[in-house]
Amino acid sequence: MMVTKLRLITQHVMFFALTYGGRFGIRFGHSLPCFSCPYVSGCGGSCYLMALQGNWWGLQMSTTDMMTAMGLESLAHLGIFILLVILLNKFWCGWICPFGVVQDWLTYLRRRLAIHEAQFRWLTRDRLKTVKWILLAYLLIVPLLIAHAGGHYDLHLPFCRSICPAKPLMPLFVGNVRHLALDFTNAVTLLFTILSVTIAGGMLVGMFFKERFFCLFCPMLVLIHIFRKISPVRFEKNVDGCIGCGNCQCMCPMDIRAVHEQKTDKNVLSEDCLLCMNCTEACPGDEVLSIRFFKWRLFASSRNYVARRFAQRQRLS
Amino acid sequence: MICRNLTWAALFGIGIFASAYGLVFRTAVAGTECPAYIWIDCGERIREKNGSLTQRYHIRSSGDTLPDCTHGSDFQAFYRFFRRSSSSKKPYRFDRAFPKAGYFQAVITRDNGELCLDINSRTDTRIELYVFGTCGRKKLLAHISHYLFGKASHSDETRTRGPVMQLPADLPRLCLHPSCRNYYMQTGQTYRFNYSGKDATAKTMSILENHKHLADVARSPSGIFEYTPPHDPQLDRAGPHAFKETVALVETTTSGWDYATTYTLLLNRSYLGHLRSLPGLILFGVTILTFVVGVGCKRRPGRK
Repeated sequence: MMVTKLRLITQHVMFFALTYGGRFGIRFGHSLPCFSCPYVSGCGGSCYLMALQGNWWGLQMSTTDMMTAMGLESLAHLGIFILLVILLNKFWCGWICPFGVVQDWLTYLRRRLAIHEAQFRWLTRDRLKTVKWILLAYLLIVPLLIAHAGGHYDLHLPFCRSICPAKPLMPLFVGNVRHLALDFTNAVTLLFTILSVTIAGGMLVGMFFKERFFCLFCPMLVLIHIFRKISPVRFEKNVDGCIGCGNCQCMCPMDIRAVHEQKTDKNVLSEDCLLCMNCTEACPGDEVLSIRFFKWRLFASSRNYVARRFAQRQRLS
Repeated sequence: MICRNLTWAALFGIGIFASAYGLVFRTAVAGTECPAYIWIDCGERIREKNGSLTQRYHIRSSGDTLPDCTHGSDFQAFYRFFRRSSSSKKPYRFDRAFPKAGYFQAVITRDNGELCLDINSRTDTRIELYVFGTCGRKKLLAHISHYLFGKASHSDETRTRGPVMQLPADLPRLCLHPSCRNYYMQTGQTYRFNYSGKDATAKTMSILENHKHLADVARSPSGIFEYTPPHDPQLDRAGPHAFKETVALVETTTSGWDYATTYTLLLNRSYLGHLRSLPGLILFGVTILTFVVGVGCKRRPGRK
């Protein structure tokens, strides 16, 4: 249970640091590769997706601004983001993301209520993979259109303001329901707020019935995945030692089949993987699955670990 | 007879001369006719290469005659900055580089016949700008205060500064009461003005937009003018960075001088005024209900 406990502690510490940290002087900057929503007043850091789309530091910056000190600042933010992604890669999703913690709470609640998890057909599951790429394209293209093709300024921060469920839901943790209101300023703001509230409602239900439901659509997951090859974080499988029990697939919150089905390549860090290590903990093969940082092994599966975990669960139940 | 004719001729000549003189005099007076008031108009903003911001201001008048009328008049501009320390969340305060009671003089130039001035700001700054001058028996004063968002760590801002000056003591001023609302001025919010001048008993303040008289605001017993700009559908459609200029004007007459004092409000659209929580919460609830029913009907039983 050691890894699970460690992950839970890390997740909750980071949730409080990123949601309330600003009230205590904690600021992690604007380049975080996780859904630390800047719409939460007093947050401890901001998701990079907002900076990426914004007009100060992102794609919406005009060409003349890019040539100024602001352009250098935007490059510095991008540089910090890339550095953070390379350093921790998918650990941001499974161990740090505050919105991920909220999803895990809903899953915990569902389990306590003894409600079965909803399941997708594999075909649907595979089709959903493209959605996060479409969302990434949406959040990259619209700011460019505003900056260089005369798009209406009310379309700014298109992902944050119309799609991201963290914007209306995360401020609820600081008692702010303002982001669930509809904005009747004009047609664009009304459309954006209707979309935002509707998607937030749908996602809330989805996150309750399906573990890590939003992560299926998360464009940040794709951005992080782009840097996997230059990251020192490795998720490896000793394909010769695998007995094909399928525990890894059963325990995966994202229903990833690739780890179970991989027979040749030892690198099994797939696009949807959150590095939660549930699969590694459940694998009964000694050192079949392992998480590495450079040459150091952080954690590896073992028969004894699974046995101890099983015994501990038996005692608890 | 001759004498009578000469008299009539002389009178006729004097009449013609007087008419001609009157015409010329009236034309001359029209050429130097003073505007009823002047106001400051925010013009183009230029982002400099070092990240600092240069704001251009135009000095506009009630008529189109300001360039002609300024012949013989002395228009001057003064400004000062309030800056917020980057390390704190404290409110804006006097920039350390500026004397507490003084102003720097800005250079007024002519561009295509218009009076204008440029002010450069390197960081996040609130600027307070006054333009005043006399025209005939009229004293004209215009005031604006707003934020400039420079993004440079250094600039040649100091090079453009003139000497430290004091505003003339007898100038009547129309000042906006300090408020957190002044940071992002919006339609639908109430703004309070204080008029301090020789004739501090001015009864009304006029509100103007594009030279059109919008409203008259009566002075409250406490000596304050309160004005709530209404929402503007055109501004609402234009985007969050669009703004309009609304001018507050007070006119008084004291000691044989006419005073016209204006304050330019840069109004953005309302940020929160159009938010409706109830429809949003209803939509949120209905969506959740719909999805719960949908998932309940469609989902396949699976693991816990």
